[in-house]
This record gives sequence, structure tokens and C-alpha cells, in this order.
Amino acid sequence: MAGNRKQIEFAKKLLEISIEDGEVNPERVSAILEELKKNPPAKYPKVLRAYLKLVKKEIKKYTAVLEHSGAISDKAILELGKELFEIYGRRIHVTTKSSEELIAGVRVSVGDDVYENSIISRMQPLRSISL
Amino acid sequence: MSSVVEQIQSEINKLTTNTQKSNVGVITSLADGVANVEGLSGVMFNEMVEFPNNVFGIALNLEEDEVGVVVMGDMSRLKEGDEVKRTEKLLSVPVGKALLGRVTDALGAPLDGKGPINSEETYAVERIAPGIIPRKSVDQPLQTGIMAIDAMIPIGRGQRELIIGDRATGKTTIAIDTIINQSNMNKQGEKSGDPDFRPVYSIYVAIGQKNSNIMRTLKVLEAAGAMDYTVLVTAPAADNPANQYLAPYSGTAMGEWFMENGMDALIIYDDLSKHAVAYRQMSLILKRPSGREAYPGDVFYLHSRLLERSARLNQDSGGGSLTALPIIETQGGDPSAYIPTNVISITDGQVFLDADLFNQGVRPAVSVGTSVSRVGSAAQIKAYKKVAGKVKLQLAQFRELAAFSQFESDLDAKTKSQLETGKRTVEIFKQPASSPIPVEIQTTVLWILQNGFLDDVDVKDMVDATRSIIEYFETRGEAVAAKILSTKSLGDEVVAELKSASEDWKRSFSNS
Repeated sequence: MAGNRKQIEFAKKLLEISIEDGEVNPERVSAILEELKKNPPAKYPKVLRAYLKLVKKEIKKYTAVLEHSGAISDKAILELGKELFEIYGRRIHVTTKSSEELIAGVRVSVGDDVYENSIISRMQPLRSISL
Repeated sequence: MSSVVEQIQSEINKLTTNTQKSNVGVITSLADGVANVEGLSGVMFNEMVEFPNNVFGIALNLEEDEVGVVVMGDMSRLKEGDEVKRTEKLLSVPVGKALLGRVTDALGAPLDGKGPINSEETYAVERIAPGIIPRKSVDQPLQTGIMAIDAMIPIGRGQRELIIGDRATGKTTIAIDTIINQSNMNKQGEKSGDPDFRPVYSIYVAIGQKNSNIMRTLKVLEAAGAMDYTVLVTAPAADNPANQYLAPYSGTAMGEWFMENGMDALIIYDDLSKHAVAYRQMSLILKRPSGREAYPGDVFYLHSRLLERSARLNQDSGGGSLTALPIIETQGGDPSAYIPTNVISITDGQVFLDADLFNQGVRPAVSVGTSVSRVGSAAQIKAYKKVAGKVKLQLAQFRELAAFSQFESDLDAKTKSQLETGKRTVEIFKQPASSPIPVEIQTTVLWILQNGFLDDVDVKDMVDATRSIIEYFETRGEAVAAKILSTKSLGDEVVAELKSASEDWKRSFSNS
């Protein structure tokens, strides 16, 4: 880990310049990749891997994944976006994903935070007791 | 109409919504009892985190990109990519009297098959030690029942007295005898109905020991009926280093409950050398920088923050106490190694056990010259202080003179007499394991020694004579012993009775 420190620091700087208005800008990322290809830094693959990891993490911060079992209306998605804006103080992009394992209900993941109201989460305490 | 129904339904939904928020992470690597977790951005230091399959861990390394979690369960049930959840709880253990008589693991879960522990309260394992204001000087004795210690290195309630020595020199025996003596005194005190009597509850923390040794300790305590007042916290050698690291803190939290509720407790850490080794192992696999002997830089703090939690509180804070007897194992009798010097400097004194003395048959093998109690003498009862005051000096002088004993014929009368007294004192302090002597009987034995009743007894017969004195004062001379215990001083009346009883004992001993 200590050997990668320089590459991580460099990747962090790349991430900084990739961000515009609080979000990762695809055009800036393309420009950075072009530039890196022309003038590759030392341990280029490591830098790229670290950059990818940081970009993914950054995108996760303003992207909500709404997992649901059953139908979900556009209105609900819009309401969720508003609610998340209240919580995080920034615009959160909501993407949806159907997940039958929830049985019924929803799970919203934003970064490391998970908001869940589903049958499976309610059954979790019962599962712990039975273990 | 339907919109009205929807509206009401929506209001009901708002009320019954039961959304659970959690902060999660993902295991990125897993090795040697440590899981590196990406995520868990809000996790606290020392917070319990939950892995799948009911496995828990503690977050110990909070880094920029990941969290180092020490796993406290079966690692084989985890894999890379598993989700880890925050519990938002610091590690806690059950506390209270419901733990007495129980054997628990480092997390306070019962191991004795006696069912769940019905404890109503829990205490965080890591707590801040009492500050300066609620503390009070040590002023009440904690009798170990071991004459060599009670006479020369007295311990007070709230003191931290280190028991240090090589392997197999009787360190654990001293600790167990002390627990047994507390139990005997508790039973006696409860029987007497004395409203001022303060029982001492014991917590024995076994760290990195063999299961067979723990079992033996349990059997000894059960046989002596001491488990009624004792809690056994175990993190055996087969346990993971995280549990061995946590066990002393868990035991201390259990002891603190007694202290904070105005009661007295005694805690034994057996032993802190293995505790430091477990912490070193954990720190190395967490990739923390290592220092001297590969221990991490905060190994002093590891023990200082643990032992500082033992204290004597003033009346405003309930007047409770927690006495600590940490044990340290030395290598080749060298107390100047890293961990021993650390713990020596933290504690209020040490009982040093000498392997040579042990092999010579002097048991307990207390080395008088290197043992010290910095605060305990203030807690000795008056009667005992009177008879034991000079013993330590006499015995230390004897040890110095003992080197010349082979030239005995050339020595002056004073030196010869000092050697004779010294030999007798050494014999008097020999005491078998698991047979603590009550303080009033110890007082009589030392009084008899100091008043010349044993001068004509052969050195080789001294052990028999001591046993005979103990038996006499537990039976025929019981009234005198009881008087010493109740008055706690040697007034003229008590001395007269003691003298008469000693003469009676001497007659019966000479005839036998």
C-alpha cells in the first residue's frame, strides 16, 4: 500500500480536476485520459486503477440506486430525488433496479448509506434470533 | 371519492413508514483475523460492526479509504465482497451481580452452560478512568491471606499491585489465594451481620491461557466455594487475538460496575504479558508501525489506560473501589524488559517472585528486597502494623547476611542472632497453596514470633509450629483472635489474653 502512495496522490489530483459543479464531468475525464495516454506517468496502470476507484467512489456519492420489488411510479422517483436533496444538500441522480429478493418494498443506496424498507429487512431480526 | 381514499392511505403510509438507515461497507480483503473494509464512512473508533452470518468485529483502523476491522468470530464464514454494517454501538458487556458465579468469554457471553446471564445493564468495554476529583487515597486493607504479602507488601482497596516473576513461580497461586481469601472473609462478614462489612467481589481475567489451566483454576475456586463472589472472564490461547486484547477491558467494565455502585471489587489480569503479545499480533496484522520488540508505539497506553481504571472513589462518588492485581511473566528473572518495566511504572508496587527461592522451597517465593507496596501500608490495620512493622527490614537484612551464613562460626553474636531470627521468619512465611490465613491469625503468629515464643523451636520445626499456632487460634484461642479482629488493635487487655493463650499453645506444642 505504501508503495502506491504516490500513484494514489496523483490520482486524487486527477479526480480534483475531473469535477465540475460537484460532479464528475465526462468531458474532463476524456481530456485527462487523452493527456495521460500522450504523456504516461510512472506506473501508469496503477495510476489508472487508482483514478478509476476514486471516480467510482465519487459518482457513488451523488448517485442513488433505488432497488424495488414491484412497480414504482415516476412520481415516487421524483419525490425520492427531492428527499435526498434535502438530506445531502446536493443533487442526487436516481437510478432504478428491480430486485425481487426484497420480496416487497424498496432499498435506496447513496454512497455508504442504505435506506431500506422491505420485507427482507424486517425479517432480518427474526433470522438473527434463529441463528 | 377514490382520491380521498388515496389521500388518507398516503397519510397512513407516512405514519407507518419504518425505513431503516444503515451505513455499510464491503470487505475488500480478509486475512489473519483482519478484514479491510471499503465504505463505512461514518464508523467510530472501537465501534462494533456486523458482518453477515452473525459475525461481529471492531473497527480499529480508520483510514482515509478503508477501515481495518478485527473480526471476533469465525472468519471462515466471511468472504471478499460481503457487506459490513455499522451497529452504531461501542463494544459493551453485561455488568452486575448476575455475573457472579459465571464464566464468560471476552464479550460477556456465558460459557458455563448455566443459561443466559440475566443482567439488566451493560457497560462499554472502553471507558475513561475516574478523574482526580472523585478519587480518594487508599485507606482500607485488602487482605490476600498470604502472610508474606500482608505483612511486608500490604495491599489496599483501590491499589494496583503487580505480581511479577518467571514462569512457574506461583503468580497465579497468589491471585487465586487472594480471591479465596476474599470469599472466606465475605462469608465470615455476612455471617457476623456487621452492617459496616464491605464484601469484595472478584473478577479473574484469564488471557491467552491453556483451557486446561483455566479449568483447573475454576475447579480450585469452586472447591473453595469462591465462585459465589467471582466472575471468570476467559480468552484462552485458542481464542483470536482480538478477544485476548479485549478480555481485560471487559473484566474491568464488570469491576467498574461494583466500584461505581459503592462496592469493592478485585480484578486479576492473568497475564498482561500475553495481553501485550496479543495486541502486538493484532497491530502487526493491521500494519501499524512497530517499535521496540516489535510492539506498537501505544503499548504503554494499552496498559496505562486499563490500570488507571482501578481506583478508590470518595464518599461523594459512592466510596467504591476496584483493586487490580495484574500479572506479568518475566524471562530469566529479568524485570527490565519492555513490558515489565512499563507495568512496573504504572502500578503502585510489585510482588516479585524469585525462581531461586521457589526452587529452594520458599513458597510463596516473594523476594522481599525487590517487592514493594507504595500505598498499601496506609491501609494495614493497627494491630497488624504493630507486629509486622519491622519484619520486612529484618528479612531483607537476613537475605543480605545469608551469604555469610556459611562462615557462621566466625560471626559475632548479633549477626548470628539476626541469621537465626531470619531463618525462623522465612519458615513462618512458608504457606501452602489455597490456604489463606485470616488477618487476625496472621497477627497472632507474628506476635508470637516477635515475643520470643519460638526462639527455642528448631528451624526445621517452624513450619509445624506455625501450623499448630494457626490451628490453636482457630479453635481454642478463637476468642482472642476474634477480639483482635473486632478491636483491630493490640490494647493491653488483648495483649494480656494473647500472652496467656500463647503460653497455653506453647505448653501444648512442647508436649506434642
